[in-house]
Formats: sequence, C-alpha cells, structure tokens
Amino acid sequence: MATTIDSLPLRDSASGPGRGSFSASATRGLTSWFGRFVLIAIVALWTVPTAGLAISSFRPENAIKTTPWWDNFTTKTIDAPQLNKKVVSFTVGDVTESRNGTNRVTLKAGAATSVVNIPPGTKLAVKVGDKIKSGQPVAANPRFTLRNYRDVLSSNSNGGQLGKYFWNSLKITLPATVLPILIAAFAAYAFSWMRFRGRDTLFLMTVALLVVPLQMAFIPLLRMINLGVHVGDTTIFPALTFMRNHVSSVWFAHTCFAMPLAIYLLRNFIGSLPGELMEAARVDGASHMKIFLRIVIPLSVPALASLGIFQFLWVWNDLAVATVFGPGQDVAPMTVKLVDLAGSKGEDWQRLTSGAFVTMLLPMTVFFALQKFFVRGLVTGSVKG
Amino acid sequence: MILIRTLAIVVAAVAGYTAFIAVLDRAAATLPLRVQDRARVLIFVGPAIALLAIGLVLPAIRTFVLSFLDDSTSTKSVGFANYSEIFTTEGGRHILRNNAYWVLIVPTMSVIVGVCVATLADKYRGESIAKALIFLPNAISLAGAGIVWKFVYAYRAPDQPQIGVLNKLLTSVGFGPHRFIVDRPPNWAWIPGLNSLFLMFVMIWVQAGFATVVLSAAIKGVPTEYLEASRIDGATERQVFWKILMPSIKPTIIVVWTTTTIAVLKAYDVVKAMTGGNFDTDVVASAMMRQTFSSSRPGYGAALAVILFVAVIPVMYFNIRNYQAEKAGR
Repeated sequence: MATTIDSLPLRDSASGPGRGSFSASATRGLTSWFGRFVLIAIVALWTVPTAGLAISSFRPENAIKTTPWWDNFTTKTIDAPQLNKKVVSFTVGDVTESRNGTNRVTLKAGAATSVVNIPPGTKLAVKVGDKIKSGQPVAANPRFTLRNYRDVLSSNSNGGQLGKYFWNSLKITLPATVLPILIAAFAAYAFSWMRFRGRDTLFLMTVALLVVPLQMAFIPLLRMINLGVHVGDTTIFPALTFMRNHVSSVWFAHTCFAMPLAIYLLRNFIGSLPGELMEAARVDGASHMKIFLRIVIPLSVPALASLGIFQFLWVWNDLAVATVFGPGQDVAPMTVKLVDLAGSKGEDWQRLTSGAFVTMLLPMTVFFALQKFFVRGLVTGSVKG
Repeated sequence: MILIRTLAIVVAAVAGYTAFIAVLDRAAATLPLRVQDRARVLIFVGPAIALLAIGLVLPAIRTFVLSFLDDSTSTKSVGFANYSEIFTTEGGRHILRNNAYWVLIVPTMSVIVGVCVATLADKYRGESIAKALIFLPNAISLAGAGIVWKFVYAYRAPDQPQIGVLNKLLTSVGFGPHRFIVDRPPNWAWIPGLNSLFLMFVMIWVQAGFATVVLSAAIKGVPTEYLEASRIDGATERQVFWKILMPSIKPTIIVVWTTTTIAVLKAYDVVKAMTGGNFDTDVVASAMMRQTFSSSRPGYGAALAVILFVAVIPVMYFNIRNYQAEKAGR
C-alpha cells in the first residue's frame, strides 16, 4: 500500500472542459458490446471472490465445509415426494444427522417409507411427528448464522480470540498513523520554507530511502531495540528495554519506515503553498513555528488527511512489520492471527472466512466512507460531488 | 476502553511532541543570532532525520555487513558464501526464478487490466461503481486477500462436492478437481510454476485497482481535441487507441508499472498467508523472513534482503529517467 501513494496526486487535476472522454465516441464502434462484456467479466472476477467469502462467513460450519456458498441461492425447497405418483400424507419419522452435516428425514405413509436427504445449509421445516403431504416442503430456505463470528471473536481459549486482536490492531494503527505524519510535517516544512545549506541534498537522500526494502532494516532494528548498540564495551545506543515486546516497538518501527514517503508527499504539498503567504507572515514578524502551526497546518489538512488514510490502511493491513516487532499475543494485530489461523487450521473455513471478513471490515468502511476524499484527486471529472 | 486509552495516547503524543518542539524553538530564540536559524532547522528536521538514521540507514548498513558474516555467531566473515549459496544451490535459484516471474507477470498484467477497465468504463454509466469495486481489494490486507483466494481455490476430493468456485467450474465441465496452489509433482497435471502463477493472480487482483484508478485519471487528462482531430482525419478507433491514447498515457503507465514492481518485490504476505512458501512458491521476501526467524540463518537472510535492495535500484533508475525525460519533453 505504502508505495502506491507515490504517484497519487494530492490535488485536483485534469478537470474542466476539453478533457475527458476517450470512449464516449468509442461506443460508436462495433466493439462496444464486446467491451462491455469484458468490463462486466472483469468486475465480476474482482467482486465474486470477496462476495463468496462474505456469504460463506454467515453459513454454518458443516455447510461451509461440504457445499459451495452459492447453494444458499440455488437450493430451493425440498418437498416431500409422491409415492407411486400419488399424493400421500406422511408422518415424519426420525431425523438423523450424519457426520458431514446431511440430515436424513424418514417419512412414513402407512407401511411405506421414503427417505429424504437434506443437504447442509438448508433448514428443516418439519419436526418428528409432523404430518405433511407430498409436495409440501420438508426443508426450505438457506440458513445463515452469526455463530462463526461469535466463535472467531470469542475470547475463550478454544475461540479465535480475534476480538482481542482487533483491539491490538487499533492500538497499533492509530498512533502509528498520526505520529509519523506529525514528525514528517515539521520536516517537510523545513525542507520547503527554511533556508539551509545542503537542504536539497538532504531531501533527495530522504526520498532515495524509499527504495530500501524494509526487509533490510528488520533484524538490526529489532536487535537495536532489544540489545542496544555496543562497540566493544562502550554502549553507543542503550537497549530500549521498555519497548521489548511492547506495542511501542511496533509504533517505533512504523514511524521510522513511514518517514521517507510522508516527508516526500508532504513536502510536495507544503512546498506548493503560495510563497507570498509565508513572506507576508515573515514580514509581520511571525516565527517559523507560528507560520507552521497557524498557516501551514490548517492549509494542509487535505494532504494530511489523504496521507493519513493511506498510512492507516498500510499499518492496519501490514503483516511483515507486525510479525517481526510484535509477535507476542499482547501485541500482535489481526493480520498475524489470521495468517496463524490459515497456517495451523487451514481447513477451518468457518473461522477463516469470518476472521478474514472481520479484518477487512474497517478498511472497507474507511474506503467506502472516504473514497471520494482520496480518490477525488484521481478521478475528477468522472465522479460528481 | 482500549479505544479511549489509545485515543488518549495519540492526543497526548501529538500535544507532547508539538509542545516539546515549541519549547525547543523558544529556547533557540535565546541563542546568539548566528546559530539561531541553524538551531531551528535542527529542531524541525532533526527528529525525522534521527528516525531515518536509526530505523533505516544504520539497519540497512548493518544488514549489508551481516550478509557477509556467518550464521551462528554473526562475527566471522564468510566472504560471499551466503550469496554464492543463493545463486548456486537449486533452492536459492528457484526462489530467484520465482521472484523474476512475479516481477515480470504481476506489474504487466496489472497495467493491462488497469488500461482495459479504465478505457472500457470511461464515460459509461456505473463507471465509478466499477472502479470502486475493482479498487476495493487494494484496501484490504494482502493476508485477507490471500484467504479470499484460498477459498476460491479450495480443493475437495473428486468424490465430494467442491466448495471452491474454480474447482466447481472445472468439475462441472467434466475435468477433475485441481489442487490449486498446493499441487505436488507426482501428479499428471503438475506443471512447474503453476502454483506460483495462481498466487501471482492474487497480487494482480490486489494491484489492478490502483492501476485502474491512476490510469483512468490519466486518460481523462488527454485532451479530447487530439482524439477528435485524429478521428476527423479518418483514424479508426483502434488507431486512436494505439497511436494517440497509449502514447499520451505512457508516462503514467511507466509510473504505475514501476510502483507495482516495487510492491511486488516486497511481496511477502500473499505467499505467507496462502502457502507459507511451500509447494515451490517461495519468493525472496518470504524466504528472507523464514531463513532469518525460523531457520536462524541471519547471514543468509540478510543476503536475500540485500538482493531485494539491489533489484529495486534499476527499477527506480528507470523510473527517474522516465521522469526526467518527461520533464525535458515539456
């Protein structure tokens, strides 16, 4: 996620008349029906997997494991059969549930019996002793349940305990979103509006760090936090013992790693603010501190918010940093727990589906709620509002 | 409760940091004029630079050194042994080859899907919905996306009903079910690299939304007059697409392609969540994590990290040259 922000313009661009429409005229072409078909196919391919996961997460365990999720839509009612092509009155005999969740319902009509198989995922419409006629439903309507969610969120030792990890994720994400942006904003201001020797070189070096894969920093940074840095017997950098296995080590790592991108983006924005404004404030005797807090920060709210959303999604969705710096149960976020579930209980689909959906809930909400806000700069002209 | 406490931490941290900087700034005012400005610069930039040094620069240098040291004590030099192990053993070469396929296939396919959707959806009713739906995978975690697709790829023995969409489709047209992503060699349908290909598709699924949104913006930035003029001159729609539209958005395509490439190089989550690097699907980033943390081979892991870094440099160089060429062309 983090790398993607790179090329997202933070300001509106490319709007106004004379811009726009390539395919408005392409629709005149013969290919338009084919194009529309391809588009629908791609959208379906991009949507169906998530939809399938969401629907499955509400299906009972035995149904998820034995029948595909669209059965909830294709399975119609299962009706009591006829005997010798005649309508008969049945009495419901026993109902047995097999290991894989299929129910077998025995229907009795005098001496004759008929066995109806009820696949998992459908709900029985009859009880033992009920009287029904041929053609009346024995089982009907797809069955949905919230049990998977209760199970995966429950805090008891057999449960998925995802509730706890949800709070871990939140505990990691909020500070790790706000802190780097704050620290980077000060630096971005200095890189834009303070004059000092080597400013541009220092800025370029900062941006160049974008290419350093985080993998290169993991082990030494972890060691630095746990053991400190020593040359011989002299301690250059003390061990940050208070961070050991504490959420603050994850904050610290995320804050360091976010710096290059945050400084780069914020400098682009803050540097493009009108210089006359700063000049006027300087002439009036305002200090850099005052200009930064009173003028620059209020004007940069759109950029800060855009960056905030991306940093939030990046940290919330991160797995690698959390795996390295916050492996303990008290620190690990949901992504770590989810991968753990996928590895150790690969066939526990009732937990994996509901668990995956719980982790997606907040990012999806953020995305749909603030979509306009951060995609506006990209799609101006096509999204009205 | 946790939410309130976390919010309190955030508010306290923001207020505390701002106040800290403000106090230092006030203190700087008492310094002699000569050094005042320099002190202010230090106060504004210092913390960010310190974080970069501690969190990225020094660790990266240390990793570089580590890649030439032995695994057990991390003190004895082993020369290029870690690197030569990666490049000469079958296991190491396999990882590199896999990663090369990822880098070739994922960004290219993401851009192709992005261009398709951006042009096809342009000005259609429902354009914004289509783009939002395609962008959505980009908002969820790669680990979550891995689970989504693990479920699509789910395999059941031939005598049982299939629960995965793909195997259901396969069996309904008469084929046997396929062990997507977890296929093993003693099997007539086994093709080397196929497992990885199905993992790559997940990454394409995630990245295509980003490509779509950015390329769509670029297409809307192409002046209509260009397109109309060429149509009046008798160009076919195909010619308009290839000769006018594509060259106009080429710089954006390169930006999207390189950004995706860098994201792909660091891809660890998808592999970890879906196969754990088993079934011949390991890539450099996932192998690095496993070697370092599970197999206790910090030297070998560090060498893998350095290879990642070295692989990013030409991609970045290409991007910068493209940027400069574009600037010069204006």
